[in-house]
Amino acid sequence: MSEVSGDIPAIKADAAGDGDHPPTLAATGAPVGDARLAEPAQFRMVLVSFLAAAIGLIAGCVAFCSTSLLACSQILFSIIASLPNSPARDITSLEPG
Amino acid sequence: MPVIGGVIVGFMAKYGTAKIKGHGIPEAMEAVLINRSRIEARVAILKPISAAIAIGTGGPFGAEGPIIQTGGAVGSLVGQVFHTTAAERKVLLACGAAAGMSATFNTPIAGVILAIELLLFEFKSRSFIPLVIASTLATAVHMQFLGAGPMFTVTSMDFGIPRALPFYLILGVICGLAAVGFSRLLYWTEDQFEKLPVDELWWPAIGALGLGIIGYFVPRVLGVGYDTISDILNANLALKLLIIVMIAKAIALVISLGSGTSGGLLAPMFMSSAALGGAFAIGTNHLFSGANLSPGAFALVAMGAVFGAASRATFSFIIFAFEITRDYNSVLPLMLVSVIADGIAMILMPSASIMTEKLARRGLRIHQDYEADVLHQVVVAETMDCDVPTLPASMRVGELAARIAKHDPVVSRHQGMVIVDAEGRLAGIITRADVLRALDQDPLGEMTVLEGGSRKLVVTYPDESLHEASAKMLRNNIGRLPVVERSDPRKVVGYLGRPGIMVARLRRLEEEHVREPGWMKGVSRR
Repeated sequence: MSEVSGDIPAIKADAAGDGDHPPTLAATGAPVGDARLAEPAQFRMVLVSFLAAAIGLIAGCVAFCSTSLLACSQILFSIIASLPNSPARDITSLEPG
Repeated sequence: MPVIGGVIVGFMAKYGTAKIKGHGIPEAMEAVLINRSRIEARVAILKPISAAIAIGTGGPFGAEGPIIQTGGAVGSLVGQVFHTTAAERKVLLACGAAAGMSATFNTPIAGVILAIELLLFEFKSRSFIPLVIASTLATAVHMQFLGAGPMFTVTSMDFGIPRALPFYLILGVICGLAAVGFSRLLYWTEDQFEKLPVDELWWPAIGALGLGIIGYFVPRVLGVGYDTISDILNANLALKLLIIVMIAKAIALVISLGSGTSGGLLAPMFMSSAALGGAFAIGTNHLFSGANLSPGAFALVAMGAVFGAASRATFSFIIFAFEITRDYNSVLPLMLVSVIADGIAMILMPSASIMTEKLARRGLRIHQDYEADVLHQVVVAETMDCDVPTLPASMRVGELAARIAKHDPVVSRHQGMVIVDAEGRLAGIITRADVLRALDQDPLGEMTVLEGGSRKLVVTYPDESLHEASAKMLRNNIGRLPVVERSDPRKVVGYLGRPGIMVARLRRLEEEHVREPGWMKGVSRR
């Protein structure tokens, strides 16, 4: 009895590869016809969007912390630099104007 | 002081992670293109610290590149916590990068577009929606802590449209040349550091020594320099000082960044290019007394155009320059100058940008343009072979082999042949490789083609896109598919091999390269 399917993998490899040594992608070494591809994962937009919201909040806070760290670092080093007479005292602040 | 910072960063790069070197965005691109959007946790920790040390000790950098990379690392790490595909992780990484940029500059639209242009290389709803969400929330965080105002407060600018358009054209050319010149100078400097006979641990210290010497004479080049950018945009600097800042900041930046230290490229390039634009306007006003150009307006336009052309993220930086001042009148000259500068950069630096040069040198081909995949646009029915070579299921493999050997056109046209039963309905498929294997097992060729071929079939349908059909081929490691009616999966209507897929590409090639005769005969036929 023949079986016909839109997505069931064929049993036999053909001229695309020789079965024992299927072609691979040079960049990643991933085999073409990778078994994991037989049941392709769909892009989960809802999950990714929720994660994106969390990432937005975290990255926003990280950006603020990084900017604050930078400001602290500038103050710290300019205090150190002010001990001898150095033009580094004129290092500008993060805030414009 | 910069030397101390250089030594500390050098040690962090040597014993922490080398990924902290550089200005951040190329490293995020590298993670997307090579590492399947995986960034190590230590990058997220060490990058902002190293940037803070480099900038705090006088490094002429901005914080935004490192923050973009750190944001990308946060996105990537979240993606690594869950079971995700590389495509999902890429979007999450880009969300982090967009959020980092948005939260730093209060530029949510530019953050989204930058992520699309430099990290995703796709414009799909599935990535656009998360990007906008991440960027919006990150901007909200910025507003909560730092206020809702624009990054730079500028006095009202007269962009002089249409009077100043010819001068904007010239500025576009100058900005394009500046973008190319700066990119080449930066990578040339990197090359020179690589030739130094000392361990790379000490390169940032050597670069910092050069920076210290420049900073001694021009203290304005030290540090981030947002206040200097603000001064330039508000036309508070004289021509001589603008020229000094433009040259000194550019040299300080290439020496420092070329030495492999950690720091962002955006702010210093903005300062240098803003000075270029301001100097151009003041110089033109001296030469043409009636020109009456606004130095602040030209500074803003040059700022967006130079970085846009250098990074090939022109659209991002048109929007960015608009968002940091929120002056809508800037859009027209920004668009014009930016595309001219981009055109010049495309001609003079066709294969790489300041963001991709490092990756291109490692053999990666980075295609920054994106377009709809032609395989999504063409259905199987358009390219399949309707004249399907079929074999009766009872045929012997030996007979088939003999017909192939005689170059029988029916069985020689394709690598595979469809096997049909007595009613002419699909029963299997046999390829030449199957024939060889069958003859290996049964040298007399008594086996039937149905026994020698495959009966578990992967099929495609006339209304399926070539993208889906080719995905089936790749998933199953096969090179051809019988095309059947969707309503009757055993009724064969066509045959799709690899040439059928390539034909779709041929259509795109024809659209690109075949000139069709127009109404004006004999004019520009070549």
